[in-house]
Amino acid sequence: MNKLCIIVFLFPFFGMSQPMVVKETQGGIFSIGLRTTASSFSGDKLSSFGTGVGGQFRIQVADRINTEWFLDYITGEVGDFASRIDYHIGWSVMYYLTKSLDPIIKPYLVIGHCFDKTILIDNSDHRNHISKNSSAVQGGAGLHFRVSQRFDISLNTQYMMHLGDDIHAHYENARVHFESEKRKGVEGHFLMHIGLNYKIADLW
Amino acid sequence: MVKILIVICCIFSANTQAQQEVYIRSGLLASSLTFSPSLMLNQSGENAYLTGFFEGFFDKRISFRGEGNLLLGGMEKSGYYEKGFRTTAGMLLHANKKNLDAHIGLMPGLYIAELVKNRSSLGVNELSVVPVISFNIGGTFYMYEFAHLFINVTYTSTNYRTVYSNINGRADELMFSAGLGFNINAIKNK
Repeated sequence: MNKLCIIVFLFPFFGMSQPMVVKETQGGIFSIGLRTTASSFSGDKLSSFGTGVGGQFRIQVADRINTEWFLDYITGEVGDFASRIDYHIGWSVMYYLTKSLDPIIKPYLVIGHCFDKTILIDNSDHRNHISKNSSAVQGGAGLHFRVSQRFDISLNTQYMMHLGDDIHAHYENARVHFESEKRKGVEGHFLMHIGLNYKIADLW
Repeated sequence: MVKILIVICCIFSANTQAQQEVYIRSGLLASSLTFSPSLMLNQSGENAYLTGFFEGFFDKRISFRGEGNLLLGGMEKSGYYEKGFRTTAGMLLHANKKNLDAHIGLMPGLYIAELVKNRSSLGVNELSVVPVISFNIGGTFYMYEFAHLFINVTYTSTNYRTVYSNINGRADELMFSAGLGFNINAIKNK
């Protein structure tokens, strides 16, 4: 059992320490990574800057098309009386703007969809809260900075537009009130990610 | 006599140079457990952590590092945290010469903490899970096949959103750690 644990634990370092052999095309390259997120809400005047943490894996389908599957956990403020927690789980498609397969800087366009859960919490009484489940679409642009054949740092900016009902908080008569209502117009936010990605293998 | 000494020194030096093995290469695994004092940048007070990390080198320039910091307590009575555990993971970039290494890295993570009562909503203690981003810079000397000396400075950016109204939730920290670590090479030198 101990040997099995050691083998499982050390396997990534044996396997990934070797140069990656890319088969005919870059389709099939599988990578995993971690990212940190900054979020700025535009729909609610009281909402401000949020920060978060997340992870993603990528499966490249062709030389110029990659897919990214992600999970994010973001916390933010609503004025000084309430807080906001967002969970995002979704996917994006990236289209590379350069023909070169392995440049130092690789710009791309990105578009995708995600499911999200939003929770608003009263700062003075955490039992007073509201939550909603919805979905969103997002799009933007980004860059991969190649550090080595297997490792890149990615920077991207996207606008995420939430679909479905809206929830919001307001402060009235010395109390925090939460409301859910049909959305009027677009509610969304800018997201900026800095991600670290490591290519594991060329799967096909 | 002097000539003999010079010759002996030259032979010894050449012999030492020839035997000097470079441990920083793909497959190097390093780990340590140490105490880390930290300075709170937005709040008054200092904290002490028990820090453990595990690091694996994909090649001599890139490694994966996972780190855990268990809060042992505030060094002052007016502490900010009642309990806390921070876990981060990320990639480090290295510049090295023989067995001397310098690194810089970005490590996202989470802080699971309980604030002191006068910071919590309604004075009730409850655990919060807060996103963290940390930047790590440091140096290591791999002095032996199985041991190294290290020094690290870590800046962590944390913001407690759900603290009581009008109380600042920013809780950035500058953490220092140094000590003796252990390492092995999982891949034999070619």
